[in-house]
Amino acid sequence: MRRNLAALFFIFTLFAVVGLYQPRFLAPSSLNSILLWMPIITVLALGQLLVVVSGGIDISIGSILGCSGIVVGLIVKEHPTLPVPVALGLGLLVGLVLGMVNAAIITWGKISPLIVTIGTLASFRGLCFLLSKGQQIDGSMIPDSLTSLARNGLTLGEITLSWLLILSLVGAGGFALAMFYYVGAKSLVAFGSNPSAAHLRGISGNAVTFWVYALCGAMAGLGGVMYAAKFGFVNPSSAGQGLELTVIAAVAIGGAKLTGGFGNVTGTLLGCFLLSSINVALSVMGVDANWQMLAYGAVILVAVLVDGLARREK
Amino acid sequence: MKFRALIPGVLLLLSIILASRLSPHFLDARYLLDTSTLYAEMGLLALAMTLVIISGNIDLSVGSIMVLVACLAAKFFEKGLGIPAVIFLSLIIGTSLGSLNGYLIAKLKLPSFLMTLGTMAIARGAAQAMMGPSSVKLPKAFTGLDQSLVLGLPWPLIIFLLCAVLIGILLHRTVFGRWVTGVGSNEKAALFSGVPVDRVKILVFGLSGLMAAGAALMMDSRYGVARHNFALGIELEAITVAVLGGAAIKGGEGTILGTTFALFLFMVIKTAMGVANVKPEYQLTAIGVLLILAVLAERLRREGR
Amino acid sequence: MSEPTIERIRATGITVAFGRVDVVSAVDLSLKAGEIHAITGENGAGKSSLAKAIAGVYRFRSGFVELDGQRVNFKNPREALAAGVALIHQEPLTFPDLEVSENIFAGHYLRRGVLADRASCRSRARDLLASLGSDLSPTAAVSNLSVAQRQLVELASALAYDAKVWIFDETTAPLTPKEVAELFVVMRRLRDRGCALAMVSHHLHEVLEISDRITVLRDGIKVAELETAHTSPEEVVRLMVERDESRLTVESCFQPISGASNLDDDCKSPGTPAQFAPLTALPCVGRGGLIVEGLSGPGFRDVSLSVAPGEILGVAGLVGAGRTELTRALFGITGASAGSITIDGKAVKINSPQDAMKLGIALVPEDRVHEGLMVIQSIAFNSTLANLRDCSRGGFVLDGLVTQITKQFAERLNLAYRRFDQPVSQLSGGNQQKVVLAKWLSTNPKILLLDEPTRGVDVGAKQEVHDLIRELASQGMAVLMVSSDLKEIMALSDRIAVMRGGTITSTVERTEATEEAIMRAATQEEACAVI
Repeated sequence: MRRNLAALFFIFTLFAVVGLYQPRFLAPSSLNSILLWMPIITVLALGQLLVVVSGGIDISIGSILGCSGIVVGLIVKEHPTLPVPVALGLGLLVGLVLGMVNAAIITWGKISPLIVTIGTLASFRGLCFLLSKGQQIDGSMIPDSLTSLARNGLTLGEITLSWLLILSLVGAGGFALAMFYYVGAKSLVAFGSNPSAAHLRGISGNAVTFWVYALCGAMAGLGGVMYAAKFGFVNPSSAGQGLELTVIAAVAIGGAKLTGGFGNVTGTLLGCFLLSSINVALSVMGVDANWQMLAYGAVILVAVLVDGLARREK
Repeated sequence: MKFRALIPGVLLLLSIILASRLSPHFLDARYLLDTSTLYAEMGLLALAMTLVIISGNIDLSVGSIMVLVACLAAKFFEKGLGIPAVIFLSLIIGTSLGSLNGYLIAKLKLPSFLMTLGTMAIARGAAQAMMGPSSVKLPKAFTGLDQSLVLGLPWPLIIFLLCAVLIGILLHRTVFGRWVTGVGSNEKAALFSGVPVDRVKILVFGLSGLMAAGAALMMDSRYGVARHNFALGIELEAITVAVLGGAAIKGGEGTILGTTFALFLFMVIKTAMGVANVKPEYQLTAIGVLLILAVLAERLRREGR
Repeated sequence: MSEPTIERIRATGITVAFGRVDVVSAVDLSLKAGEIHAITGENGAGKSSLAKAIAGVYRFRSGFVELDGQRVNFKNPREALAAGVALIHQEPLTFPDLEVSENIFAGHYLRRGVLADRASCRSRARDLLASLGSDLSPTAAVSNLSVAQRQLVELASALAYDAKVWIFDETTAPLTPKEVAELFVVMRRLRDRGCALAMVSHHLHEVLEISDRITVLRDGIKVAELETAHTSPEEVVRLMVERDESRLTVESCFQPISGASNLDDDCKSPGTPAQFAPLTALPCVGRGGLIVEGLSGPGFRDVSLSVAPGEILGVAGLVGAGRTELTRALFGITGASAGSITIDGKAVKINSPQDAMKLGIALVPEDRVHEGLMVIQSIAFNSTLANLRDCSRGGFVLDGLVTQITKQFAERLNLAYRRFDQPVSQLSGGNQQKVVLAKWLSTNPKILLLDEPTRGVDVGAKQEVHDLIRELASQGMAVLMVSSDLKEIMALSDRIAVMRGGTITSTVERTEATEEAIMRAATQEEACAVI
């Protein structure tokens, strides 16, 4: 729980500092912007959380998001009447398949997940071009039913909770419940905490590893459809590019132990909120988007250093 | 052990023979030499990456440090600094950034991939914040290094080969090289053997930063312009080359000769893909696959023993 | 209690081999329900290997194991546990990030369908712990527990698997006497519940206190099976240690176990057991050597000791008494927080291994594979790593010098090797230890710290290492030797310091020491007065 406090602390500091400097940041409109940023980061972070708890990392999620966005974009282009849940399901499926590619290489190739996902980061990005033949999926190809997920939602006074946000929060709720109640999650945490002891207790490391990367891919696939819905286009080169940094930063600042064994959904949600807020804060302060990456890097570094210092104290 | 380095050498020969069926240019030394200027920068990163990997670490930040230094150097020129001063400052900055990575990794006992993932974003982010979407031109006097020849060889290739020899000696012939290998083989045992483990890490990452700065200057000279989005994904290529050359991702094993062969192998593969009209995006796919295959082969070789 | 009759485990003709060496040879073992069966013997007698073979950690080369009359061949401890055969480790395997109940049920969490039944797990965990006589909270964080408490967690998890056969592998080693007594209470409970218990231990008083039956191993061979009620400590000791009665006396411990003891350079002349020339105990104050006063640091406190040149100081004690931590602090791996270190009359500060090496200190660590060696690297690489100064000129390593130094020490230590560029992983335990020794001897140290110098070393090499240690001391090296092998301590030391709970409880001349007195000093409060 102490780890969640760090994220909360950073959120309050951010709001206090930026709010003092630019009161507009505290207006409902900027909260709406923040909440619009959150859904994609959140679904990706949920998948990444599982991977991190298992003691691994997945760098390839941005490229998986791109592939799924392209595939679903191409399908809805041909079938504009496709029901939204089917589109979401298709995205999930594409992500699952690509995640399983990662999972299979990591599990049976016994190669460090960092190297594998650096490799597939590149390969899946190439796959985006292959699938799209280098063409961007344009707004005209994406039906209103999908984009309205980002535009519409529940309105509470001046604040709009988009359907995408609600979807991602429902997902987060599901993950939280699963982490708490699903038996498999117990094995996941045990494996991340002490792989050799877990092996002795009959927990199959291969099964855990396989499914966390498969699921992480699936969540990134879902993120791909959300991306299409939010932005209204999918570019094979830029869709999801660099997003892995944002997501890892969110998970890290959300209190997950980066060496595995511990992490919770609440903290991760706070982390996602923080990173979305940083985005909006930068634009409210009139700092251009060029500073984003620097800010993400700083967040990762802070989280990594906090994690390192905490371990040193022990 | 020693003949391990020859495997990428043999693969290199094979690939040249195969590629020459694609285009007779591959048997033209001039053509290959010209092409090598495109890869010398990445080659410098790969040399340092070999040491980093042998020491049991990884450096994801080299590409970002390289681009940051490249942008800073351009800014220095804008401010009116002379060539020697800019070169000196750039190398100092690169080395310091690398050493800082190493210092934090060593002192806080952080996994190097997490630390350098953070600095990867920070360094490129800093370059981006500094430059914005604009690009900065470099003075004429500084550009065109890749066009000038010494003894019939292009400068970048000479610099790469020189660095390869020096780093090769450093790794294979010096006390420091043994320490690097020792730290990567078993860090705890290295500590228990009186190896100054922290200092080794700082120096290895410092060297990585130094090479990144050198690569940055070569890139500036080649393009004649600096932008924040140059050299994207170059760390992936450097890691791939080091692993192809036989550097064991678990640490403790690898040779500079292997990395050198692997660099030329990589060059031939990429050039051949270019000749065969494979789009850059698909080349990226191929490199990703190549990296995974190289590590897989490495593991299978280990298990076979 | 009625005579136990149900035989749970019957092991027949078990042979376990490491490489070409049989560490257990054709041993039969029978574990009966309602009985505590001790497996005892000297260090290296094969008792732990036998237990681990039955529990699926090691594969046996020949023989077979039956569980309740059915042949079983566990591929790993997991299969054994699933079949109800639990192996309890010295250092319990736990999950530091998980709470107690999650630890207990890791791998078989109680469930309703796919849902984890947290409430039942916690209440069951509480019950299991209570049935072991513990009031440990099921929700406590395991990272904050002591070794004994974590052992309890491991016991409770074996109980949760409904284990019928329990194998305790040197489980008492890291525990305090009070904790041992508590563990024994638990073990008796398990026995009275009808479980079959095996207990591997070389602590004779523990064996006699808790067991119903004793199997004595010597050099991998079963030499006797005794009923505890009808035996005496003398008989067990006699069976454990030697072929003839003379070994019973303390003096006999100075005699080498096998082969010759040589003070001269030639280590290769096996012959009739030579009489070991007792070393004259040197006064340990004044000019030379290592003097430590009031040293405190992580894991030990207020340690004062001295080792003179030419002297061997044996440091005895239980696992966890702070001995390893002391050697690490002296070598600069971990710092000391208080106290002083004097070397050759000069007060020194040791903040890093480099400092220690400059002062002529060498440390042969306890864990050869993880701390002593780089097993993927060659003999030459390992042998010269600590002494690259002598292998190099101006920072450049010269292969000729590397080979020369490697050869010099390989010959001196009688190392069995094929090539110097052979990876150390291909060597036997004894030869690996010789490489570690070569690494440090090549630095020509004045003070040699040895932590369990013959652990996992075969008998022949052990003798050679002992001879070497004596030889080094006779040449004027100050040797501080930590060992859990009392025989080794008694055989080599000029003086013996006993550590307990992080501090030295007593120091005695070898001539005044008995194994029993040392054991008491290592375990009990009042022992200080006795010695």
